[in-house]
Amino acid sequence: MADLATFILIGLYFVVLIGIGSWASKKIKNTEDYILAGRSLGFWVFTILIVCSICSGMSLLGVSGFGYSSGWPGIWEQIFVPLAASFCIIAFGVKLHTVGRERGYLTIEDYLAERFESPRALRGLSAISGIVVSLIYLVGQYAAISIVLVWLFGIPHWQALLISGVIITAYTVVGGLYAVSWTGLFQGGILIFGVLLMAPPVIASAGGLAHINTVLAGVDPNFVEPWFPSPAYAPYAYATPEFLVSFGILLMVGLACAPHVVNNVLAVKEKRYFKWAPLIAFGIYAVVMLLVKFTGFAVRSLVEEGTLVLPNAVNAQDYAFIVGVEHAMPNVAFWALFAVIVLAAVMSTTDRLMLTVGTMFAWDVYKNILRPSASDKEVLLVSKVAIVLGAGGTLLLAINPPEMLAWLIWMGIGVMLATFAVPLLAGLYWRGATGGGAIASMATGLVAAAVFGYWHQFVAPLPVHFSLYALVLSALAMVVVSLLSARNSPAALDNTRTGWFIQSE
Amino acid sequence: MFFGLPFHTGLIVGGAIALVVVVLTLWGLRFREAP
Repeated sequence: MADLATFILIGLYFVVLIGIGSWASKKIKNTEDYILAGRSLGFWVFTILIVCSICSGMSLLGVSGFGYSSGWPGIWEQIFVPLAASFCIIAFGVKLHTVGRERGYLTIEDYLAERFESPRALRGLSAISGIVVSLIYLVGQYAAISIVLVWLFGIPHWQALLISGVIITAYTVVGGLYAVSWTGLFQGGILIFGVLLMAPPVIASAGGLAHINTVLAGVDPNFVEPWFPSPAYAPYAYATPEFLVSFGILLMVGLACAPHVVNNVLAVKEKRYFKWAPLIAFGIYAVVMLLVKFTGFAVRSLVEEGTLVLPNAVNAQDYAFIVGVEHAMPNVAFWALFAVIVLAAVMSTTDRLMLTVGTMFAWDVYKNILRPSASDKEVLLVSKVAIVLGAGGTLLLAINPPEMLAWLIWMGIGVMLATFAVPLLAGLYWRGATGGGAIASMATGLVAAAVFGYWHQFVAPLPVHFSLYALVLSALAMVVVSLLSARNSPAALDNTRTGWFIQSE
Repeated sequence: MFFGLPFHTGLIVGGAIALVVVVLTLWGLRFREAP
């Protein structure tokens, strides 16, 4: 439960966020400023923004929970997820940033529309899929925020949602990407500092990593193996080699091409930042997430030795980080900081998702499809209204979160992979990829992800992640339809620097 | 043994992380800053 120090620290945290939003609002003169922060993001703001966009609400609680329940075979998550930031920058960022500047793109849909010469059909399909996936993801983020606030303050669920929703919406609506990126830097700093401060004492309180591993090996010898044997022999032992391959593709590529992640590359100030951003983003993110994972191992060890007991809940393992910090740091001041770092992890993804929903609707659907004559001021207003409506709608859904919330969030990432990965990669690197191929691959990926996701959850479990089947079908649709349809014009291909290279002469 | 882990686990996980770091470092070294 919260005490005065926690209230004050969280209050201060919220005040800083609102302050950044207010400062950012003064910098916005047009839609480009709002959507892309005037293409002004510096190295650290961009690098931390990419990390924060990926590092979602379940990063702290879910990662330690996965460590608690599955041991070392789940460690690959801490390599694949940080790699998503690097993959996004290398595979998409360098080229999209260059072309985006030359051609004045505001969203990835601008790129897809020009590259595939499909200003309405592909743009519309892409924007609507992106909005739906982001909204599903948003419900999960809001549910995670409210879990933290309810647990901290003992306030009703709806109050927690309302407080967090109003604050995030306020600074996102007024400050656009300026606010989202600079609050991201602030929140990312808190997250990194907080985890570096808190994880080592939890690990030390369990006797250090060597002792923890010895205890884990006593629980199940496979807990200290790099993967579980195939086929899975227990519900927690699903990280088999074949599953890890699909899991790796899902996390590394799926998160990299998620609309709220990949759009960030268009806002970078200078191309030279892409030189070291992949390594720095991976390094920071991997260190933080490995430490969080080790706290999950530490808490499992403490529980097995009878020192700690997890709450009696269905998702008890997700309390591992909380219980571990409570055990290792009874000091109240640390508690308050802990509350803020969990909120920082959750809120920094939520705001980016909301902005993405708002801008995709205002720019891609409203301006480019419904009302091409709309003025810049009108588009800006529609963006803000769309953010408020999107936030309101997802908040309402989060008040009564569907029972299948976790499934929906995984569905969201799976759909992002199956829908966006092939059109983006083929568009950037294969001159034979056509508009028809892109639409077929996006539509096939969307439908196949829904079908295989449903099948895995409700009919029969699949040996690899369901999104892999959808990705393969999406790629097949791209290749077959592209080979059967006429190529896009050389001008479109040259203007979008299409070809088998990352950096051209 | 490697921090209480079997040697092969330490080698595989540590090797994977080292490989990623090497690849990303090579990317940085080979990146052309000129437009």
